[in-house]
Amino acid sequence: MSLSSYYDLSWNDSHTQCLSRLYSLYFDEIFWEDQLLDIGYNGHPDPTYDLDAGVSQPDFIAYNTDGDVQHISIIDIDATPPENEKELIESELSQLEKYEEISEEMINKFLSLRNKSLSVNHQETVALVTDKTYNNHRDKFKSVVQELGIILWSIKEQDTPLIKKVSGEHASIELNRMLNSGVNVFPDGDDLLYFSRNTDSSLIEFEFIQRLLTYCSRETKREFTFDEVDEIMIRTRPPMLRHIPQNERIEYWKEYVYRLLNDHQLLEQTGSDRYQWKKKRFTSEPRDRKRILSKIKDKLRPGEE
Amino acid sequence: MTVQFELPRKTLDNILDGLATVITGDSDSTLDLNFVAEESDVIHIYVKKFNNIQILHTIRDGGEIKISVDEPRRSVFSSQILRDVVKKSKQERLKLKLVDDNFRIQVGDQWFTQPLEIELPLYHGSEFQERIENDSMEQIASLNREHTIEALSMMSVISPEFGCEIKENKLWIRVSDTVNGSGDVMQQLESPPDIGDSTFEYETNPVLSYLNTTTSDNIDLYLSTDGALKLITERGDHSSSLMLARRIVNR
Repeated sequence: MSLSSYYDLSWNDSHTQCLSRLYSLYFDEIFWEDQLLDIGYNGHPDPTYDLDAGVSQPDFIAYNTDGDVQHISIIDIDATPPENEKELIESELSQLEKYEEISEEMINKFLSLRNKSLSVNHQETVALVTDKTYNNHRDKFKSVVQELGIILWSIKEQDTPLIKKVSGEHASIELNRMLNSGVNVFPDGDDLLYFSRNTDSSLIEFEFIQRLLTYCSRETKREFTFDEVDEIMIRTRPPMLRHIPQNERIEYWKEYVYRLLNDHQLLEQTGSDRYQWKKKRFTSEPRDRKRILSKIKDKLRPGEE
Repeated sequence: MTVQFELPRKTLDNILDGLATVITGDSDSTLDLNFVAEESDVIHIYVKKFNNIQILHTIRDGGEIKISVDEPRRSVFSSQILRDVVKKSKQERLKLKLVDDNFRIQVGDQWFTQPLEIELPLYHGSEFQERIENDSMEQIASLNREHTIEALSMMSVISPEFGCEIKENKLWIRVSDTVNGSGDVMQQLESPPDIGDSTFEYETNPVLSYLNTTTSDNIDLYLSTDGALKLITERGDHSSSLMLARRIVNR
C-alpha cells in the first residue's frame, strides 16, 4: 500500500494510469523483458499537433526509425454499458479520424522539442481500451474500428497487465506479431507518469497548491516569482507535466495562480509576476499549512469527477 | 520666532492627507513631517521615506495663501493630532501660528465672544531631514491628472507596479503580469528627450495616492537618467511634488 496521500490521489485517475502503463512499453530507462522498445519503437505521451482546424492531441505517439508511426488514443468509456453505448463508442472513436490530417511536418515540429526528427513512411491510428470495456461492447467496437480503419488494442487488468491487439493489422510484421500475443507492461508501470494532459484538473490543481505551499515552507519563503513556479513543479519528484511543452504547461500554472489569488484568496501580488502568501504563518506554521490543504481538498474534491 | 500662515482648510487637509499616505503606508514605522519656513515667506512641508520617496508641498505668500515669517525656522513634528483637528473643522480658512514649540490654530468664527483657539505642542519621534533636490531631472511630458489617475488605478488591478518606457519619442505607461494580464497607454512627446530610450518600474500606490490628494488639472512628469520619477503639480500659490525612486527587485 502507498504511504503518502499523494498516491491515493493519483490512483483515482484511471486515464493517466493507463497512459503510464502504455508508456512503459517504450520507456528506455527501465529494464524489462517485454518492450516495444526492443523492436525499435520509441514513444512520447501527450503530443500536440497544429492542424488547420485547431490542435490535435492524441494521448501518445509511437514510432520507429523506419518511419512507422502509431497515434494512440485511450478511450475512456465506462466498463458498465450505458444506455446509449453505441452512440458513445461511435462518437469517441470518430474523434480519432482527424489524426489522418497529422502530417510529417507536424510530427517533426513536436519531435523537435525532444531534439528528434523522423522521416515518416506510414501512419496508423490506434485506440486503446480496457479489456473489461472491450468485452462488454465487443461487437460494437469491432464494427466501428473496421469501418473507421482504426487498430484496436486492449489492456487486460491482471497481476502484470497485458496490452494486446484485438482488431486490425499493423503494417510492421514484427509489431503485429508482438501485439498479437500481447506485451506485458512493466510491473511498476504506473509510476512513470502521474499527471497527463487529461488528468482530472482538480487533481493537478490540488497537487500544484500542495507543492507550492510545501516548497515555500521548506525554503522559508513567503514570496515567489512566476518564473520559479515551473521550476518547483518539474523539480519536485515526481515531475508534474514535465513531458508536455513548457508553454502549454505554463498555461496550467497561470490558471492555478490566478485561482489562488482570486478564488482561494491565499496569495496576493507584490509586483509584476511576483506573489506572496497572504499571511506569513501560511508558510511558517505547519498547522496552517495542513489546514489550508485540507480546506482546498474539501473544495476541489480531487479525484472525484 | 513666529511663523504665521493662513490658507483654505481644504488645501491644508489635502496636504496632510497626501503626506499621511506616505507616512502610514504599509510599514509599521511612523514618520514625522518636516517643516521649513523661509524668510521669503515660503513654507515647505515634506516627508521622506528612506531615500526612495519624498512628497513635498510648497506654499507661498500670495492670493489665497498668506504667510509671514519673522525668522526662518525648521522643525519636525508628528502630524496626527493636527490632521485630526483640521479634519473636524468646518471653516473655509484656517489661521495657524507656529510659536516656539507650539502650533496655534485659530478659527475665524465670529459667533463666540472669543473665537476658538487650539494650542498643540510639537512632538516628534524622528530627526529633521533635509529635503532631496534633484536638479538633473528632465521634463518628459505634461499629463492630464484625471486621466492619469484613471489609467493607473485600472492598471493597479493587474499589478501593483507600473513601467515608464520612453521609446522613439513616445512615453508608454505599462503594466504586465503573466497571470493577470497587461495594458498600456501612450503619450506622444513633442521632442525626443535627452534621457534617450529607457524603461523604469515604479510602485503604483504612492503615485496614485499622491495624485488623488492634489487638485491641479495637469501634472508634469520628470525623469532622471538613474530612474528617479518626479511628478509636479502647481496650483496658484501651492506647488507640490512627488519624487520616487525606481523599483529594484532582487530576483
